[in-house]
Amino acid sequence: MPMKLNLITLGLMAAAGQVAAADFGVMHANTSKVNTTDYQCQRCVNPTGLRGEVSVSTGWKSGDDIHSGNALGKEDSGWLGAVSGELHYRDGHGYQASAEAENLGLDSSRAHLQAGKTGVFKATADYRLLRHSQVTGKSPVWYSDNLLQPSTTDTRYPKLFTEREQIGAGLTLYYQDYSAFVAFNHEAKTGNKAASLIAANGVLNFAAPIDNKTDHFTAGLSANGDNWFSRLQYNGSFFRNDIGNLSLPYLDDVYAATPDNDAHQVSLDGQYLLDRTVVNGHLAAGRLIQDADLIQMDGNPLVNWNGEVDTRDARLSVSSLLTAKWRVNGQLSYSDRDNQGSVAEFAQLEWDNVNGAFKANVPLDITRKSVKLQSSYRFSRDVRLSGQYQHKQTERNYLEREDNREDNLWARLSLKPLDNLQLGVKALYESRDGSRYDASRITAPDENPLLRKYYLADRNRYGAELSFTHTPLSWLTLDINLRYAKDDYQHTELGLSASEDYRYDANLSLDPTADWHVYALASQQWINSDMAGSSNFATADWQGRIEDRFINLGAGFSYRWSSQLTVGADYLFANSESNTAIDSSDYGDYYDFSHSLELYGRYALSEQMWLKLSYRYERYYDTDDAQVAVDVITGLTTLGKLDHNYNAHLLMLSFSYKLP
Amino acid sequence: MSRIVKVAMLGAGVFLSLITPVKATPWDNLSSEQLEQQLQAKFAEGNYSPKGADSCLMCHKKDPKVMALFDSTHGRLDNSKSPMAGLQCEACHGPLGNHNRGGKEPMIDFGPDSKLSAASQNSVCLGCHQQAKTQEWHSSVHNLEGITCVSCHQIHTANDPVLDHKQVNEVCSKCHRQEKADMHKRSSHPLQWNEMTCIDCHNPHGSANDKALKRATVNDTCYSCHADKRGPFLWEHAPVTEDCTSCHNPHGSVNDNLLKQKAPQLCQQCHVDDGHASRVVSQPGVDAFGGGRSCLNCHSQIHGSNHPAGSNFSR
Repeated sequence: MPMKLNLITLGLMAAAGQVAAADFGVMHANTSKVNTTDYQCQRCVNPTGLRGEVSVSTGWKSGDDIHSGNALGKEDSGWLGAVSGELHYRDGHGYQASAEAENLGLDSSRAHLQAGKTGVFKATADYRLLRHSQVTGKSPVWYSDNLLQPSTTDTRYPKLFTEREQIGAGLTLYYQDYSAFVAFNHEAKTGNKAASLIAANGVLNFAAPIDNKTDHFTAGLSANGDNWFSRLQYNGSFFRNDIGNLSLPYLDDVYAATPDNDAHQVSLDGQYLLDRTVVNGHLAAGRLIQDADLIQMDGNPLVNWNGEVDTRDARLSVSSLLTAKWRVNGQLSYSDRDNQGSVAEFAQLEWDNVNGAFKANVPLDITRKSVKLQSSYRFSRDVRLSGQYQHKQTERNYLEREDNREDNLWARLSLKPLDNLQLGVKALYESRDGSRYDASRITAPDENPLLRKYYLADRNRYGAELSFTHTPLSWLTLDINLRYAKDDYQHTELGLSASEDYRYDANLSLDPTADWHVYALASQQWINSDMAGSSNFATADWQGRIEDRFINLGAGFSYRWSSQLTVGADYLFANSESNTAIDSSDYGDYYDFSHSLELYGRYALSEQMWLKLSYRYERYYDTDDAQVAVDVITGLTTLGKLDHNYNAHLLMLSFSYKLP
Repeated sequence: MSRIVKVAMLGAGVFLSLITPVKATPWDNLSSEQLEQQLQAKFAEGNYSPKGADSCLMCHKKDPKVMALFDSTHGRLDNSKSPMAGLQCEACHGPLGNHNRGGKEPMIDFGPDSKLSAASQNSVCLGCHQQAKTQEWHSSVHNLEGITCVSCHQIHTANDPVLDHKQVNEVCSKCHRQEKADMHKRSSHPLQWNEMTCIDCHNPHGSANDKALKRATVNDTCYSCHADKRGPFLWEHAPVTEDCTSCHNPHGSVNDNLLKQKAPQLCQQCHVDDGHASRVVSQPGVDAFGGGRSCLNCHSQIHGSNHPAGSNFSR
C-alpha cells in the first residue's frame, strides 16, 4: 500500500509538472528497516596481497634524426631497454600501496609510488622525465659560460631540445571531516632553443642554452560537512634561471637572461548544497614578483627593477535542478591583474619620432568581469535543449582599446530519435566590440590608424556543429562530427579581417566478434584567413590570404588468433599544410606529413607470462621555404635549414610477468 | 533516375536495415518517467535486503563484471567509506525490494542503456563524492549536457581507465574527436604519446574557470609548465600578458610552435606601423624579414624582455 501511495503521489506531482529531481544519494537512503551489522557477506571476496605485472623490454632502433625520439622513445640509434610495470598491495585492513613505472630507460619516462589508508593518510612520490626533441641545427656560434663565440671556420651542430626532469612528493592527512595536504615538485629543465640577436655584422640566429629550475609548493586544509565543503590553499612557484645575460666577444650583455621569478597565491573555495541547488564560491589573491638585477648601461636609472603584479580572482556559481528536467546555472566572475611594477625612463638603442631615444616601461593592468547563464531542459529521455549566454568585459590600460565587451550565445539540441541513434545540433553566435579604438595611444605612437589588432578588434563569430552517433548493430558504431565557424572583423581595414574554419571528424568502430576489433578514422580541417597591410602608412596596398589544411587518417585492428596469441596493427597518417599568398605571390612549401605504423603480436606463455613482439615504423617529412642555409641571406646567419626527412624503425621484444 | 540517386537510395536502405533495437532489460517496457517514479518510490520505502550483498550475489555471482567490483576501491570490505562497508550493492543500485522475486522489479542501473536520467544516475555518485575534485560538477558543461559519471568512469574494475594516465586521453577523445586529431598536427603538446594528458590543464568535473581550466586563467595554466614566460618582465608584450591563446593554439597547429599563423603574417596582423613592420614580404627565405625566424630574427624576446633597452623585444 505505501508503495502504491507513493506512486500515486509521484504521479500527481508529475501531472502538475512538479516532479522533483530524484536524488538517490546514500545519505538520503531510508535505512530505518535495515541493520547492516547483520550482513555477513559470505559470497564476497576480499583480495589482499600483491597484484600487478612487470614488463622488461629490449629492442633496436634505427633512424638518426633526433625528432624520431619523440615517437619512438629514444633519440639515438641502437639498442635500447625499458622497464614498465605496476604493483598494487592491499592488506585487508585498509592499508594499500602501489608502485608504477613506465618506460624507465627511455628518453621520456615516469614512476609513481603511493601508500595510504582510507580516512587516515595518503603519501605519494613521483619521478618524471620528459624530453622533446626538435631538430639538429648548424651554427658557426657556440655558447660557453654566458658568452656566444662566433667563428668563421668552425661549424657546430647544436641539438634543439628540451628535457624536463621532475621529482615530487605529497602527503595528505585525514581526520574525520578534515584533511590537510602538502605537495612539492622540483623540475630541472635543460636543452637548447632557437634564439637570435642583432650583432655588429647582422642578425645572428643561435642555439640558446636552457638551464633552469622550478619549484612548486602546495599546502592546504579542507573541511566538509553533510551540505558544505571548504578548502584553504597556498600555491607557490619559484623559477630560477642558471643562464645569465649573453655577451658577444666584443659586446657585453647583448641578450638579457630570462629573469628569476616567484609566484604566490592563496585561495579559498567553498560549496554549499541546499536540496538540489548548489552554491560555489572561489576567492584567490596572488602576487608575481621579479626583482632580478638589470643590465647596467648608460641610460638605465635602476639597479634592479621592482616588478610586482597583484592578482585577484573571485567566482560565484549557482546551479539548481529546478525540476527533474530543468537545470539552471549562473556565474559571476571577476579577475584582476594589477601591475605594481615601478616605471622609469630607459635609453633605447633605436630612436623613434615620438619618444626619441628614451622610453618608459608600461606596466599592463587587466580587469575581467563576466556573467554567465546556462540552462538545460530535458523534454524527454530523447530530447534535450541546452544553451548559454555569457557577457564578458575586459578593461586594460595603455593599449589602443581600453575596454572590450563580448557577448556569447550558444544553443544545442540533442536528439535520440532511436535507441541507437544520437544527433546533436549546435549554433553559436559571438559579438565583440568596446570603447573607441585609438591607435595613437602611448604604446603605439606610429601605428596606422586603420589597423585593428585582431585580439582587440570588433568581431562577429558565427558557428554551427552537427554530431551524429549511430550504433546500428551492437558491434558497430559510426560517429561523425561537422563544425563550421566564421570570424568577421567587420570594422578592420588593416590587419586580420576574416577567418573561416570548417572540419569534419568521422570514426568507425567494429567489434564483430569477441576476437576482433577494427577501427577507422578520418578528419579534415580547412582554415582560411584574409588580412591586409599597408606599406606606405596609408590605406591597404597589399592583401594576404592564408589557407591552412589538415588531414588525419587512421585504421587498425586487433585479432585474438587463439587463446594464446593476439595480433594487431595500427596505422596513422597526418598532413599539415599552410599556403600563404601575398597579393599574387605564393609563399611556396610549408607542410609536413607523417606515416606511423605499428605491427604487434602478443603471445601468452602461461597465464602469468607473455611475450610481445612489436615493430614500429615512423616516416616524417617537413619543409618550410622560409628556412635557408646558414649564410644564404646577406646579413642573416641562420641555424641552417631546419627540416626533417627521415625513416625510423623500432623493433621491440617485451617480456611481461603477471603476479599470480 | 540517375545512377547516383539509385546508389544513394540503396545506401540509405542498407543503412536503415541496420537499425535494430539494442538489448533490453526486464523493465524496458517502462518509460523513463515511470521508471524514475518507481525507483523513487522504492528508494523512499527503503526495503533493503536483510542480507546485503549475499542476496544480490545469489544470482549475480556468475557475472565476472559484477565480481570485479571486489578488485576496485568501491568493493573494499576493509574501507569504512566504501559502499561495501555500508549498504553494499544497494548503496548504489537502490533497495532490493521485490527484485529478487523474478528480477522484474527495476533497480537503479547505469550507462548508455539506462532509462534513468543523467541527473538521477549521477545523484548516486554525488551522494558520496562531494569533495574538491567534483566541487564544480554541478555547474559544469558536462553536467549541463547530461554526461553521466559512468560515461567516463568504470566502477566494476580494478583499474578505471580514466584514472590511468596512459588511457585518460583515449577516454576524453572518444567524444572530443577534434582535439584528438589536433594532437597530430605539425606542432602540438605531446598528448599523442600520453606524455601529457587532457587533465593536466582541464578538470573534466568542471571548474569555475573558462574552458574548465584548472587554473584561474589561460596564462596561469600555461605558466604552470612554462614558468619562464611568467615574468613579470620589464618590457611586457601586451598580447602575451593578455592571453597566450592570442597567438598560440594549445591543442595543435599546422604551424610550428603551436602558432595560429606563422611570422611574419601573425605579427603583421597587429603591427602596421612605419613601413618596417608592414612591408610587403612577398617571398619567404629571401631576406631577413621572411627568412630564418622572420620577425623573430630581431625581436627574439617576444614573450617579454628584461633588458633596459629591450622595449622592442630584440635583446
